[in-house]
Amino acid sequence: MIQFFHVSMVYSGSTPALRDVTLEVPKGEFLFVTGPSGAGKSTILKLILGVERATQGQVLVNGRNITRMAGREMAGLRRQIGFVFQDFKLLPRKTVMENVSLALQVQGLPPKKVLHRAYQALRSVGLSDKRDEKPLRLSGGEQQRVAIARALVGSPIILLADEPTGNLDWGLSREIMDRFLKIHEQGTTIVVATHNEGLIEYCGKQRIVLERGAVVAPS
Amino acid sequence: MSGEMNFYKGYYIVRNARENIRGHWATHLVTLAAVGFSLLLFAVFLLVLTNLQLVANRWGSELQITAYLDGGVSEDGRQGLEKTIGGWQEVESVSFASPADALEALKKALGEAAHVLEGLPENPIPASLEVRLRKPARNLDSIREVADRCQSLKGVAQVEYGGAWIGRFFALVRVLRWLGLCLGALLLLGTVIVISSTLTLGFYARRDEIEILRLVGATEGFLRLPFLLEGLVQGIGGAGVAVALSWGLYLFFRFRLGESWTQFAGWTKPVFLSSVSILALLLLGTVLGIVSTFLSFSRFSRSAV
Repeated sequence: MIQFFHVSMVYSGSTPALRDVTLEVPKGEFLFVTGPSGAGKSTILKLILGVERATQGQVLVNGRNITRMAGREMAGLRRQIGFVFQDFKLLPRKTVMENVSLALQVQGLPPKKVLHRAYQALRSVGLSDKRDEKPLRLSGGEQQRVAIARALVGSPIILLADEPTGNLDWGLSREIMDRFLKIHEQGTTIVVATHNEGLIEYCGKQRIVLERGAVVAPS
Repeated sequence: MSGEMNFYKGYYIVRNARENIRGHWATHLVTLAAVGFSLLLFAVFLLVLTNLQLVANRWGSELQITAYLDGGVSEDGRQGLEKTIGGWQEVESVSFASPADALEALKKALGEAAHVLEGLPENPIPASLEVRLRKPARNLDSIREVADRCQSLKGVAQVEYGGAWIGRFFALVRVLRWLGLCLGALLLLGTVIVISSTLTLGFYARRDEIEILRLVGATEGFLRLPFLLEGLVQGIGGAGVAVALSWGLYLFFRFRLGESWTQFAGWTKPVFLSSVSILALLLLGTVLGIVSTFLSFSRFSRSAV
């Protein structure tokens, strides 16, 4: 599903974010990418989403080479990927329902279908009653759940999460990971970047460890 | 399915544009006014030029050459000259004006001042041939050329066609046309800058939304088209304002200064812009809107996700 072949990433004028990373995430896998701050965890996710382009090497997602992808093809791939960021990336001027609906509007679904699926997605994270609220009126945990609803509403084949529980207490963090595990059971490939060892242990899933841009474990 | 999806994408694009305009209506209104006034200057210039051109054309069409004959030209000689000149391809008609006819015409033209002619011992006006040109030849160059040919004929003493002042008038219209083009180009550039600036502010205000839409898989078209629609609204709206305001100015000019215009142009009223000119202005507004959007979005996109 996701393959990195000797990928290096250097942001201009700085030390390498990734150094010669080769890894494979099979379809249906649940993988944690862990390591200290600055290890390159977020960079891995950005490369999969096509937000950044590798300086060297190839990144393949679902058999397609991201490094050579542009325009319409990239947009098409992103419609199959759900993402959850640590800072939620919700639009403050739009309601919860409108935020979740965005992912469906870009697919060109009819308005009634968009509303129905967005409502179902919010119901699955327990926030259907908050659909008309603006995100800033919600707690951190609720905002993160809205972000998860938006990530999942399009039934993605891949879910990416960058420190999805970074701002949350342990109880809420476990709740969110439980949702991820449930999604994983339905066949979605999941990659979570986190430095929270407790979560990794709780989930008991595969992990890779990054240090200064290189994979140090598994060796 | 693909057609249906494209239809709904179009629906969301239009809806987004509508929401953007509604959400930033004050900015859009200011831009529309700025575009409107820029294009108004252009429209007014076009209006003035249109009417001056019509005056020039009309005067040109009324121009005729008067070939004054030598005193000694016989009747046969006069008829020969008429036949010669009438045979030229530029000439529509040739008519003879006797000295008496010419004097009567002058008295009519002078009106109340005609009494000044009563003291004359004899009629000073020679016989003449009034030469009227065909429509394609009713321009200064052709008139000059035919006049020179008439002057070269034996029996023709002098040729007149009002060349000096009509030439200056045509030159004035040509100068105004070039001035209009230069002014128009500057105004259009200014308009593009105004629309681009508003749209760029809009892009930066909605930078987060654009980033999120890109990340959830929106195509460039999905992102760009709402802004294109906004640019179109500003361009066409501004052009509409310009046409409406120039119509108001035209009515004002017609009713307040109509008499002065009649004295100048000999008509009862000036004309407004033709349908073609109005459509051209609206099309110009459309093009300005589209160009501005592309320029702004391209500049903005380079720094985006």
